[in-house]
Amino acid sequence: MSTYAQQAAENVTLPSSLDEAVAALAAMPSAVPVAGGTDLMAAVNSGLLRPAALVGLGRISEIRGWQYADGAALLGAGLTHARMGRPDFAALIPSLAAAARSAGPPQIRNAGTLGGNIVSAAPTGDALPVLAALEAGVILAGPEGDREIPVSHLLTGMDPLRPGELLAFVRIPLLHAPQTFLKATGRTGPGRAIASVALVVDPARRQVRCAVGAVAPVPLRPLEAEQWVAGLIDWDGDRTLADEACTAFGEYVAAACIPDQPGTELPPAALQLRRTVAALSRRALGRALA
Amino acid sequence: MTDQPHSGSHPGSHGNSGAWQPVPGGGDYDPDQTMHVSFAAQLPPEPLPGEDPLSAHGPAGPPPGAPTEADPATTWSIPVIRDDGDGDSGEYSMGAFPSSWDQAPSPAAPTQGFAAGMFGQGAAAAQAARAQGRTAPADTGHETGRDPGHDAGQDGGGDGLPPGAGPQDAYAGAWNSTYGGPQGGDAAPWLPSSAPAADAAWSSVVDDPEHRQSAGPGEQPPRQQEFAYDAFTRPDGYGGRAEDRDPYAPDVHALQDPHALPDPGGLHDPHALNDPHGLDGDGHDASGRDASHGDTYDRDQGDRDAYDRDQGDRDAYDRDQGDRDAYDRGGDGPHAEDSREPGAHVPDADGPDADGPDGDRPDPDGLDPDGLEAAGQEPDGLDAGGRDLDGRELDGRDDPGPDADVREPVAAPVPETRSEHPLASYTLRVNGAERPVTDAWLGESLLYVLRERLGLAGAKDGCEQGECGACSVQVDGRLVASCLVPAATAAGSEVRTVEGLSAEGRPSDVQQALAACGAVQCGFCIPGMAMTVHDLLEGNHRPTDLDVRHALSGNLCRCSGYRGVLDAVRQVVADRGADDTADDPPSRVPHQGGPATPEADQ
Repeated sequence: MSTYAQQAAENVTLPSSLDEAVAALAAMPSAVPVAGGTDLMAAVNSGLLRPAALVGLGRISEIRGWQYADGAALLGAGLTHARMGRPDFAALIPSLAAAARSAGPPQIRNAGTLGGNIVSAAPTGDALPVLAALEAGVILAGPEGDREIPVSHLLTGMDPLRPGELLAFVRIPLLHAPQTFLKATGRTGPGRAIASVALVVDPARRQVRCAVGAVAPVPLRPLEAEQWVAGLIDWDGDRTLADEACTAFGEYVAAACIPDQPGTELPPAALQLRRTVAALSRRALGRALA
Repeated sequence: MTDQPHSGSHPGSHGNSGAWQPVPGGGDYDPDQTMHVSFAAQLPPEPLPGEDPLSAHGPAGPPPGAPTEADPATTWSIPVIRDDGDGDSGEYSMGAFPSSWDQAPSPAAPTQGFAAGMFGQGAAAAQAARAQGRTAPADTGHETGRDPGHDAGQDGGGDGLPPGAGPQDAYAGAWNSTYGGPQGGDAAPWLPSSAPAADAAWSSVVDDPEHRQSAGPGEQPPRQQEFAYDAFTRPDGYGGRAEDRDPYAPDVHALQDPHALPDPGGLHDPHALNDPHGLDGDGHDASGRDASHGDTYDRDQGDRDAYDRDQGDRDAYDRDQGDRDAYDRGGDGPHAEDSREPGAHVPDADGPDADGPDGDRPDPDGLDPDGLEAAGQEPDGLDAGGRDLDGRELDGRDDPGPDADVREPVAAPVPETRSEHPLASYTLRVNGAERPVTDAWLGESLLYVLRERLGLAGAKDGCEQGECGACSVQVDGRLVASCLVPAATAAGSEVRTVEGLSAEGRPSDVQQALAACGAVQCGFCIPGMAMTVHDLLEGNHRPTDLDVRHALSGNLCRCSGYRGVLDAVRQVVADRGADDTADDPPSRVPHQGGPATPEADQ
């Protein structure tokens, strides 16, 4: 096999370690790194992308699992959604597991990876609101060494990937905190999200963190609503909320994520989306506190 | 059936500029209608330093009626809404949004799906884009120079919308003014690039072609808002990743063409994509038909040009096929040297291109020997004999001596190091046999290689977007949609297709059960279903009906209603259970993540 791999080395490299991958990308900066290929090939098949070269990341075993570091889980970028959906992972980060399970049919979840979800940054990426709510960081491996940035900076393009950089790991703090992920889809099966809500109730920091996905190009954090509802929770007690508070939280979140447009009335579709987001966040909060 | 924009195919694809508009066509309900609302205003134009860039600023205070203090004494009930325990299925089916997954969005609302599907690979492409440096502004011209044969027609056609012309600048300005913040200092470098052009082009897809034609550059700003959202929706358009548009730059023409993406005979036609010969004909069908439309013609030229470039590799394949044809018939066809010349086109490959502007529709089945071969090859998808013959032929050609040919520098025909269609040669291990693949474009999917190069037509080409599951195969024991696997990265992996399920010419028990239980009607989805069921039963020997439905959730079938498949799985489980009375508990080492377990699901 290696002979063939070497022979194709011009255009296709299949490195088996992260260093090799970074070196391959540095040697051919126009190459497109591809892990699962579910987003890349969809664009290629529809004629939107012609990769000059490919760096296949599927054989880098070090990024296909996870490890623990300083109270955080260091998830490899090559973790597939199928792997993240399994019960052992769900015990670790339940909301990410729930997001991974709902990400698509088995054919897609077997191929699609966490890193690809972040790097492609599709609005409907299911892992993204979870990562935003968990305030994850991403570790980028590049020719000049590693660096770690918040995932939000990568998603919004504040601090994009530099040439030759690869998303290697995702650092997610391991919280002993209730966390939920809820998603509305257009079909009774795994599908792209119409709206998704990830919510973490973090008693250690006395915070509620919520992120709404798929309604905007990036997952949105309704910070005011989070602070408001965190002020309502009796953190030292049984951490329950009146259901009017949950309802109000849902509406607050929805109004923050789908704002009123001054001067114009929101179209019905936006209102419906707002109701969807409100219902999802109300239920997410209720379940996290239950 | 994807989120890809199929804008032109919709009756209401005109006049939807500006922000959200009512359902085109005036009906109360349009299943294709999705959201089209500008959320641009919600994000702060300039995130404050130290602030979470994802923050959404809502109203000043909580909604009225909300409790203002912690009131733990108030009783409340847990909202009981989730009794399905189903991590895979949609949490709530919101009926008013039926179209997010399976249906093409309305042209008035391309934004979400567009961003999700088309530009989903954002940062991956970023690396390529950045690596190509600042060549972006010159890209189109660069391409023109590279492909004189094709582009001559385009230039002669007098492209009314040169890629760098005013409208895009107007858009770029709009974009910049709207989203100057997040990009910060990065805004300037990409402005001259073709990135905004693509967006402008996309807007034009949404827009009324006549409007676009008649409007001068200065008249574009009325669509600023829409454009702004479009631009913003793309994750890669956000910030420095704007340059990511570069890889798509060659497709600007295609995007500008209102017929480009939705063209039923074009890229979205699975048949056309499957059939390298047919593509030529279909591409010309597009341009020929559109040529009668006067004003859209120029952009159709671009479209055709994009097609032509797109299929450069397939041209090569065509030529190879032609060679093979000639070889088979005694060498009265074009010679091998022809196909090895990068710039030259075998007449039968070139002829339709030249004919295109005349609006001729060359009959792909009638005019050229490739077409004849296509006609002979394509319908035999299910014919095992033909398939095998085809596979052998290909093998024989590619591999006259085992290893010798493969190890030769077969990449010689690559005209230059930075080819538009970089080729790769590799070997796949399919159903236990080594199958060398030479000079395949590295963007070819595993599905394409299996079907068109290796002659294994069992995996079906349904959507090419991973939605339908008809192309399911196992790669290294994991069920994947082969249309979404770059074949080059599957080199060295163990690929198992539906042809590998049968042993000694007898269909597997799953296949027999599928046939016996009436799961097969038209049969198109059944190879994928068989692969899925095999994959399921490998990891779960006693699946419940819910497990089966979860596993089959990625295999769309429009005929049978899945009942027969469920029956077939039950029958297989019963038969296998009767065979080995070992009664082992269902092992949980599935390659696919397995069905969602409710207890682990929050």
